[in-house]
Amino acid sequence: MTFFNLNRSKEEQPVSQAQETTATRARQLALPVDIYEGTEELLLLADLPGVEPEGLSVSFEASELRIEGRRGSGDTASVYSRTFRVSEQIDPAGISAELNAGVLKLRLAKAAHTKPRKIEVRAG
Amino acid sequence: MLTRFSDFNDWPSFGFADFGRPQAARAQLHREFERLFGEVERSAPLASGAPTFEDDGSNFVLRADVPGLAESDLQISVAGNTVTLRGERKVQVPEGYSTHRRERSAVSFAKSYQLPARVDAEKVTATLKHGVLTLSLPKVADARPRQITVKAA
Repeated sequence: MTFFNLNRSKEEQPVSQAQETTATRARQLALPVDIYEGTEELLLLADLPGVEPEGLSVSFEASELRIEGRRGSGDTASVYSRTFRVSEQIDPAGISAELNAGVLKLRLAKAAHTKPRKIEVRAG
Repeated sequence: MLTRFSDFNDWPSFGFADFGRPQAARAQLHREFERLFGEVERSAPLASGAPTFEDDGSNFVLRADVPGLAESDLQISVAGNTVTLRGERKVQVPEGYSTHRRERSAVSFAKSYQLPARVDAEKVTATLKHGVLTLSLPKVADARPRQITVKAA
């Protein structure tokens, strides 16, 4: 079962002539991710070398998880970005992000009602 | 003013394979770079996200993306005009978790680059910050550019 679907529509938007000529569009960098699922949470690891914590933004809205990172500044700036649709029920308050050595570790806690429950079987 | 010498195309992949770029142009570029910084050793497959070299006059500066690597995962050696980088990153599935997507690769590389001039191995510095390795390689004195003063006749 897949809980994450890569939303490619934003990444593959054609670059218009206007955007190209203004030369303000930053270079897009590959942003590889690993996604793991545990009983309590989803764990996402992403490689964002060169991104400082101030240059990183992670948002979760309407089941869409968006990761954006800016690397460098001015003419040499480049960006990482990806958006995922998360179909698993996530507790928005239970999302934590940690950036270490250019690797983002994102923990998305599952909403309480989706966690597996152990059902006690009582003797009749 | 820094001069960008080259972007290498043979760095081990930390990301996706680069399908978009025309292979011929890439090979051509690679040959050009090979002329400036010949590679003498290779143990990793061709991939994207290559190191960059710059020459600021008195130093060569090498930058390489090594996300997830700690200082202890990297080995750097310099001899004459050759710099060698070794590194390893293991990717493990956390215990008790199932895998939904796996794009980050385990990496092991050992690469040597020949610089266009000799460097002072004693004064080489290496820093690792936000997953980027920066090597500053000072040229030996006689390889540095000299300012020539033009005298009035």
